[in-house]
Amino acid sequence: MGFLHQIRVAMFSFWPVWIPMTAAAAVFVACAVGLTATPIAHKPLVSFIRTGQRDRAALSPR
Amino acid sequence: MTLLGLFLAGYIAMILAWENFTYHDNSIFTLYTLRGHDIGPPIMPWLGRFFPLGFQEFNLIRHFTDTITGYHAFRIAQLLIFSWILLTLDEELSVVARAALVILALITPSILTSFAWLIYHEANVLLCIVCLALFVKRFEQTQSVGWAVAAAVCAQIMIYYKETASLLLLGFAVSRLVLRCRSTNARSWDYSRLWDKESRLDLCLAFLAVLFLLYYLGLMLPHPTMKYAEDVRRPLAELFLGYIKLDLLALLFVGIVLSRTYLIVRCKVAPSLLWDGLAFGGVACFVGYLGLGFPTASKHYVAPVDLIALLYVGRLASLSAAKMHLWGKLAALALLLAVVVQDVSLSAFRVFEQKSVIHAKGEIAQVVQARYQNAAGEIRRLFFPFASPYMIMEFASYLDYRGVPVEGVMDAAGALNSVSVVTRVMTKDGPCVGYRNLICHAAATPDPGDLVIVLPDDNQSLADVTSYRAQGELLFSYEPGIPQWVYPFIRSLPIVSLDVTKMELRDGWLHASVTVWK
Repeated sequence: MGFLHQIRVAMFSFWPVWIPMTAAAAVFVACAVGLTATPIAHKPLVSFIRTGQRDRAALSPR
Repeated sequence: MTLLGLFLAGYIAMILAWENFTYHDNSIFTLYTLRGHDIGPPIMPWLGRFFPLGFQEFNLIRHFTDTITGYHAFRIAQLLIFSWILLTLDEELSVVARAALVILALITPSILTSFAWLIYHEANVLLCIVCLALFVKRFEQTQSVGWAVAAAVCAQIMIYYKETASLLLLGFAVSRLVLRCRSTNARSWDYSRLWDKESRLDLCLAFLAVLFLLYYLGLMLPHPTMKYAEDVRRPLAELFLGYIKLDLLALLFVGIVLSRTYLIVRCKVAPSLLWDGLAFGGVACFVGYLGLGFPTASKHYVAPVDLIALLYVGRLASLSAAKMHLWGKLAALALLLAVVVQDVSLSAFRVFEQKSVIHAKGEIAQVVQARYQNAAGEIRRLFFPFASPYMIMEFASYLDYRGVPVEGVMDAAGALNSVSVVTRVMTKDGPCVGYRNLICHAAATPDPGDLVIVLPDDNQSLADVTSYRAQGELLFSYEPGIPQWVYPFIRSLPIVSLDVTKMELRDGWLHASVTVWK
């Protein structure tokens, strides 16, 4: 009960909760859409494909 | 574009005309920010309210200005950014169509009140909605992480300005995920699309909305209540009737979203993730207000719904106008006309009422202030024969800010030479409202020497107003700028009886006066 009460009191002090929460959300979104968006496997492989194969690969459906 | 520029210039002039801090709920400024105090984040579990970013912008603004124009400058800047984003957001529409949508949006009563009245947080929510749409669109075009982060921060700000905005965000994000995963051709589901870049952003937005709801529940859970809505709850049929009379656009929007959903499910039209997502968010917000059960039609609460409705319906109508049959065009035109007539009449009424009330109260305060200063503090009592305790509190707070100390406004004991507030509508002495210290004294009649004040929004019969004027020395009187013969016409409009005053307008509506009682 005491612990839950302390959590509720902390929730009432809005700014110390909201600012880190927003900063964390921004970092999380950046990681979610950015860092994992370019898998390492994709880029190096391109250089090993010969020109003709690359063209065909570009046309194939993904 | 010239027309839009002129419209915006006139709109801004309208916002600033006759302004002062006397309108409803402006005591939050006259008691706090204008006296150098910050407003705390509005977290009120006992009422079921949690909109902690509400009013927080004024804690910053107060460091730069203490004038009403300065306070409005912030809203005007928001208005201009809002208009600019609307002009650039939807490149599929012609510039003329976009400019027309901006004008239509700004004459919608709920949106107009959001920008023209300082205390409504919906102006912030409206700006966040158009920013969110712009950022999401730019992210989809460029795949840039910056736009995704901007969209998330914007969404995070929006939901902490208004509780129901979380429903809007949740509806937006979840519907986009569903629409993306549903393959249009095969009527099957492609769950691998959940891990697309765009889907990951939508998942994050949905997560923010869920986090807000958990925060909200964590605060409310020990004693869950929706007291602020329960006090004014109305049956569903009455709410629908209110929307038909006051906010046809919102109902039209819901009908169109439902029919378009059917077409999307039947794979007859391809969904637009941005616009259909926004539409589902708007419907979620609308359903949330219906669930709360208090009459919101055309009020500032539904400004986000009205904005999305206008953009969505306007966009569909504009894009499909060329393909419509003659009867379809006529029907669309008739509906547009009905919406415009409804919006213009209600907005004109609201602006007229608001400006008259502000003007009259400002003049009354000036008269009382001059009388107080000239009489060297000999004025002891202000008698309000008709005003509600809430209106008395608001006006007394303004008087106190103007330099007429009122008993209990700043401290319960009352300053030296402070005036006390007396009212006929209370049966015993006590605080005018539960959340302020101002004391209302009860008395059936004024004493000799009292200043008897009839406020413009008392809405009494002219005979009652005149009887108080006749028994003393009239210092000031105010009459509205419309002739009496127009009143029956205004009364006949459904907008008046249902929304604005909750009762019929009387012939003394907007009449005000200050009298020294003999």
